[in-house]
Amino acid sequence: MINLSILSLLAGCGGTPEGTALLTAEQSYDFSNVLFAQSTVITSGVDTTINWSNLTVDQLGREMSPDSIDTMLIVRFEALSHEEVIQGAADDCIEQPDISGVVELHPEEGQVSANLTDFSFMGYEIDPAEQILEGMGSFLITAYSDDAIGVRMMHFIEPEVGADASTVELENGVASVDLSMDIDAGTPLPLNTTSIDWAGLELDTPCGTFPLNRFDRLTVVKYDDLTIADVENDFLYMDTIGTDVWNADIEGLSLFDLTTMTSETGAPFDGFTPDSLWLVALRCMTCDNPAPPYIAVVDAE
Amino acid sequence: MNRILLVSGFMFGCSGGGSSEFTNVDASIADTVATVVKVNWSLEEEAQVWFEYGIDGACEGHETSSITGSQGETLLLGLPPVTDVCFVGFAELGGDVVEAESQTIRTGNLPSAFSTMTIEDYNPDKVAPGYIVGSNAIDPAMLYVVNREGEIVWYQEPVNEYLRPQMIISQSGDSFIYNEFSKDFTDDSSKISRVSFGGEIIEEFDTPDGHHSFQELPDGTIVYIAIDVRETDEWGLVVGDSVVEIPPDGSDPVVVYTVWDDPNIELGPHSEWDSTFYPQGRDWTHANYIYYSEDRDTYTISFRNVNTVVEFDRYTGETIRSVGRFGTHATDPGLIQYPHAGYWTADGTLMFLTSPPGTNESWGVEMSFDDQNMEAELVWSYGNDEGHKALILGEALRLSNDNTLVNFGSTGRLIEVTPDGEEVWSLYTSIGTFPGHTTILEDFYGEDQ
Repeated sequence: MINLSILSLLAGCGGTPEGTALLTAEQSYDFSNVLFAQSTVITSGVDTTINWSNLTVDQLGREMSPDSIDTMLIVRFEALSHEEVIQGAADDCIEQPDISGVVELHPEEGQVSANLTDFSFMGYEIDPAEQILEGMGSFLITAYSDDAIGVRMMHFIEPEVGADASTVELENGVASVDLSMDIDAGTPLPLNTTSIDWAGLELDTPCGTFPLNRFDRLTVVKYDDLTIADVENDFLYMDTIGTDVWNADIEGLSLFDLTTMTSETGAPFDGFTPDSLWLVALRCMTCDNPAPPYIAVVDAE
Repeated sequence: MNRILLVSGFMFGCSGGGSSEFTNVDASIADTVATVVKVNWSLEEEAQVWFEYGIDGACEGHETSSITGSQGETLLLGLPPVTDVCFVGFAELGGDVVEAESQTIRTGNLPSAFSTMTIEDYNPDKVAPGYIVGSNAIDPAMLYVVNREGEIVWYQEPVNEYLRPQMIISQSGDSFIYNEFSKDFTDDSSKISRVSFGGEIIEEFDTPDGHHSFQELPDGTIVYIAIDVRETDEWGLVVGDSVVEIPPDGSDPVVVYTVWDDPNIELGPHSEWDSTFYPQGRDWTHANYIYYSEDRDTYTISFRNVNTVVEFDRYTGETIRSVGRFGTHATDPGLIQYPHAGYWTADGTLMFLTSPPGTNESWGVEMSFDDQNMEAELVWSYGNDEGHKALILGEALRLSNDNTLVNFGSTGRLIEVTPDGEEVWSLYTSIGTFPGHTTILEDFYGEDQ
């Protein structure tokens, strides 16, 4: 239970409590990602095997085990080209009306291959002779692990009449993501910040403002010996390379008192200090994109 | 999660204005619905009490029902998440109205699993009044009330393990009722629950083999669709459907209809015969909706897989009229395929969603019936050449201003159109989920449609 009524006492009549930072898009870092995904031509209307036994590095470059795949989807986009699907996926902006059909597979333990006909949705099994045909749009395979944020690997299949193909290899390198970021591009948070309020945070995305309810974790990281460039170079591990890290479940909240946090090493959060590099991140652990939607640097001056 | 956030004003002596007979006004966010504000109040003496409230700095725009008493709890409803809400209480004592000091509280945030609803079109001058009450049926199943701006103003915590395809407004007008059942039908966890506007579960009861749809009758009877699985010589286990009433007095459920006793519906293979939607057996009829007409005192059931909508007598279970493959009334053979959510309008026409054979789209349709000549005729439709194909669920709901809300099921689209087909409002869901059944709540404090 989080009781923040003290903040309202401090707030007086309509003001912002001392130490409370109102989060804005101007404070956040610059981030972009470029997604690349290969395509394999398969025989139109014929069952095909998907093999992921050689998938040991995901599209973000993280090592993984092939049998860690818990869910695979095949999604059909009747009206979108491969390029449009890739852009939509990179932007996290694919919507339900874009989809013309979806089937799923939950591999058994140790299973590293499956046929198209093993996929189904709510009891409706896929029939390649009717549903995997040339000219029916773009077909995208995506693979997920329960213990990792985002898509592990994606790959297009391209049905063609007369093609001779019986296997799709979902393997290392068939998709990749190039991340680029400028972590200190935004206006730093004040050093005296002890609580944050993101009710008015409007982060623009290519498909509208990022929904406030999707922020589900707050991460505060302290780096004693690393520079901004060091963190950018190891961006996906920004929390694990820190000197100390404070995490909080912020689901359902829009305001948080940082002084209630305890770090993974057991240290209470006593405020930001000028002798370290500090990052504050609002994260979305259920999003396909593992990059935090919001990261701000704390002003060291 | 309990939240007491940013209460200011009365408690802290900030806002001025007005004398007050209120001795206490405390606001908090409801435990399970972060968009609902609970105001507990007390007075020096009994009076009629109501609250006005609003957003964007205004303490007006919404008004609650009034309660008579010296203390009580009032819910502020219809509010978006993460919004500062100003509210003020009024008490009428012997003809004099006294006003409490205004206060402000911020509503909470939605669960992170709640996906975004995006508004594509909105013509405020032409839409029917009210909120959309419904659910996203799956992955996760989300019960909600959404306003015309696409903001969720009421919800229940999303769940992944069940389907929740329908939520309705209770006959009492102060609560919602919803159904749920296993995603893959491998276990019978079907139940129906009644939940207050404040988010508390008032009652829940098992609905053995229940699925898809239910209704509450004016007398409190709950009626639902259940699978009815029987062994056949020719086909082995076959899944049909029955309609079950649960009387309000708690007596035993009553089967008022089973397709196995319907002489018009033939048993035999069709295009969905081998579906494993129901692991219990062959997916014969696949009912998707039950509707009770108070005016007609009849039930109407929609069968997806046998392409037929049947109206039957509530007391005998006998077919009165039907349309589609096994219909009593002849109609255009190119019209009805996979019908969903058949119901009767006040004008005596039948509305439902169909995916006409040979097209790659779904239409909301309205049909009139000629019982003398045993014919049914299409009198209105929307969806032709629009390119929206519902593979799962869907419906067409006639609204109070004669517009129609067409729910294109698995496409994720809800579109409100005028009688001449003009789109005046549309919404779509995020990837991975889509609307179940919907209805309209005109006002949390007044009559529903």
